[in-house]
Amino acid sequence: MNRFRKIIFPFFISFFAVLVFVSCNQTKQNEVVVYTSIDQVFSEPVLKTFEKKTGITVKAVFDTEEAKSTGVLNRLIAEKSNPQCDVFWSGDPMRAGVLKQKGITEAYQSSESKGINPCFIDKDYNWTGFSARARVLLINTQLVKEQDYPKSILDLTNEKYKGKFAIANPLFGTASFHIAALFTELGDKKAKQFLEDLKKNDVIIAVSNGDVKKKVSSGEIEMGLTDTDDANEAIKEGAPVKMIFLDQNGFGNLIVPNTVSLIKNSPDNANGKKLIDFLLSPETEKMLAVSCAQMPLHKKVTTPANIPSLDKIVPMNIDYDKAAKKDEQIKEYLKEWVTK
Amino acid sequence: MKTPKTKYFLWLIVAIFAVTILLPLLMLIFEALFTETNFAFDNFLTIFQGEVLKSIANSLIISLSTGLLSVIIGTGLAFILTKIKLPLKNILRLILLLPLFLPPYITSVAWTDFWLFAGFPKSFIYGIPSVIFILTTVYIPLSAFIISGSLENVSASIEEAGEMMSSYKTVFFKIILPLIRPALFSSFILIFILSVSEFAVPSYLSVNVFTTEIFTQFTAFYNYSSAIAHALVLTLICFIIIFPGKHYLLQTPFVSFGKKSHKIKYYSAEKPFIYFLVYLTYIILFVFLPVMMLIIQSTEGSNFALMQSIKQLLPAFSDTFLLTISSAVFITILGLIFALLRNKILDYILLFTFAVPAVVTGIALIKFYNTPALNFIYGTSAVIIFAFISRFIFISEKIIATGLEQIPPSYLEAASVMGASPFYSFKKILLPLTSEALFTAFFTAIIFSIGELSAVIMVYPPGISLLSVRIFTLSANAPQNMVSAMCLTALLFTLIIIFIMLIIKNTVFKKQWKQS
Repeated sequence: MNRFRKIIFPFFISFFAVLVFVSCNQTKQNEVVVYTSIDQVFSEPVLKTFEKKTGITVKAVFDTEEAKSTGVLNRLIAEKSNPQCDVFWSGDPMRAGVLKQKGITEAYQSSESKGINPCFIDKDYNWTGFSARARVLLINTQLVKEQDYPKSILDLTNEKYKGKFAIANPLFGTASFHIAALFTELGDKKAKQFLEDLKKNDVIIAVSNGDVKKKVSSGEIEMGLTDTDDANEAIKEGAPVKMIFLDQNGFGNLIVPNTVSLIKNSPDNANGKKLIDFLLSPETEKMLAVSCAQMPLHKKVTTPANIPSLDKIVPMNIDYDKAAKKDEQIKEYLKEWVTK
Repeated sequence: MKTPKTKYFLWLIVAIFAVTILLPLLMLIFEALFTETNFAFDNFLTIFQGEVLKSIANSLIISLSTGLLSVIIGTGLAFILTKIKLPLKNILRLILLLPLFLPPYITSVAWTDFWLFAGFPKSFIYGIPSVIFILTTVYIPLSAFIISGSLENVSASIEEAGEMMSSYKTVFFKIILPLIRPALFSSFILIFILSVSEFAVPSYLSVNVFTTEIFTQFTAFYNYSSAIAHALVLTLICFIIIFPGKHYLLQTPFVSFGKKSHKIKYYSAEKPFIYFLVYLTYIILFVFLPVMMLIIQSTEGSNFALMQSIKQLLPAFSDTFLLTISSAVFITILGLIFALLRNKILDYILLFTFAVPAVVTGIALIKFYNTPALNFIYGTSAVIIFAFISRFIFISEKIIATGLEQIPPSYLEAASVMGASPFYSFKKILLPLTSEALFTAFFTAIIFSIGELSAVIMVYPPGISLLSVRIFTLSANAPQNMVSAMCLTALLFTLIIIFIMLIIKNTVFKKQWKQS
């Protein structure tokens, strides 16, 4: 009895406590599971608003573009045979494209997608775009005079910018999408020549878009290609920087919408659709415009004055599906290019 | 104390471990190695490309140098901590451990900012030397911790006898160093494995290492088989490097728990304050400087960053606390069982689970547990506990095995002769005498689990919030002051847990020892 009281009983009590703790997490409620590669600081408030409005509990798995969305995308692929997630909210159409190709998402045409330009919607409705970012050139205004600002992305091969600019590793994230888009726009031969010229011009390959922002803001380098949300953060932090849209007199600037997809055979398809409807609504676009300077795809969404309007930007006219496929084709080449 | 009955029980636990932790890893590896019935050569061919071989060379240069430097400097610090009479020794020991509680990535951000501020050349900042420097500062506490335990265990009588014949310098190099050689090897190999698997620091400093290759295969190509084949090569490299020292790693003390049968011989230095100053200089330069950088950064722009970060991280505190404590309990109990069995094959198995990159562990757990029948594990926190066990059981087992080896067999023999049952011997002799080792294993498991990111980010169930994951996901796009403030908050959280653990140790274990 003494042995039971002193050793076995406490052991089983702690084991039981762990089991209770564990099983508490298993209780299914009126809930929806979302995996997102959108940075948590921006996505969490949106999901909380959905919770408040609908009473549906949102269980989220967050990831970050800084980690190249390793977690969520690989999880979704690994979970294909037994999906745990209802909705995938991605920062760009590329990842949604990968999931579509692997048969992980299913078609859903939301009523909220009316009013969104069809070029931002997958033709099979496996993903729908909303709130967009753009790829911009972030410039340190203390280091570069206005007359020296590049006008086109192709200007970065000019010798006067040698060793003074950065791009994020083009194997990952929106940077990879940017390069794939350039390949579809310029053709393989011209695009490869452009990348070779960039290398000759000592382009700095940063770890991520956030790293590009940090390097430009601190004055470590003069300029770098990044996303509007990173650029906007740098401006909010008071860094001496300015973002400019490139190729406004040429083939246009790349626009990168968020996308949302419904997971095939997901645990709670109905709640998943409700969340998708909410994410595609003008209300969400407004929230994202305020929090991270994303440009609404719905017309008539009121935004802060500092948010550029899509109407005033000449966009790069690309087929997102085609760009996603091109990205897969050029990955080996890009891997060699990065380590060259 | 091992009767057939208890042996069967222990082996049953081992079998459960094999099915729940080892089998997922083996199945994943098998899947990567074979396509239907053929061996998948293609997955290994890319390894012989020039750039990949270069990345392997970089990994080896970084991890071998980090291991070597950490052991050399760690030995010096351990000597000062153990052999010199210093004031506030326990506080100094705790301060030394601080870099271990910060994510290496954050340490690299702090150091890089300092170097840029101080005008260091970029060729130094973004290169192999800086990676070695940062990883060395991160892992020195680990080697100092292991080696000081071993130094404490060197019998004073041996040193005194040596000093009668020769100078202390000769005694140190000819007697003490050979006696602590196992601890030197153990810490070198542990740090080697941790550095060779490190991805974030080399990546931040633009150094291409072999883990970058694995990461690229996972994230850019979504090629599991190739990534796992690469990870297997990394594990093989670890084993090849470890092989010459395997005797020291698998059969000898990891952290020593002494002071039971002898006193410590202090070095009677002429000017002990010089040693104190050396230690203090190290602490100021390599511990306080990065922490100060974090404090300065956290106060830039807003004075409320720390309060905001606590608010942001609050949802993660309870989950992290409960899960790391629960995992540490399981890790310690399993470590004790493995240590009691003292089996060579088991040692290699644990070494294997430790050397496998964490991302592979995560994927293996998903592939194995993500079925409707096993949702009660995969869909709950249980999968996180499994991930922690898989990653850290090796360290825990080595610590406890060391504690067990300190107990003279005559104690158990005497108990047996007196008619004590195996359980009674275990309770009255083994448990009290290994209490310090058990506590250290428990404590180490908590520290490592709090910082674990790569495996748990792959498996954490929706709705669960862990500190390491939350800091990581919140850090993206957060201003630098918030990132630094969140790291400081995590540091405070870890210190509070350590403080609570130390109070428990000082009350419960002392009481238990007196009762025994």
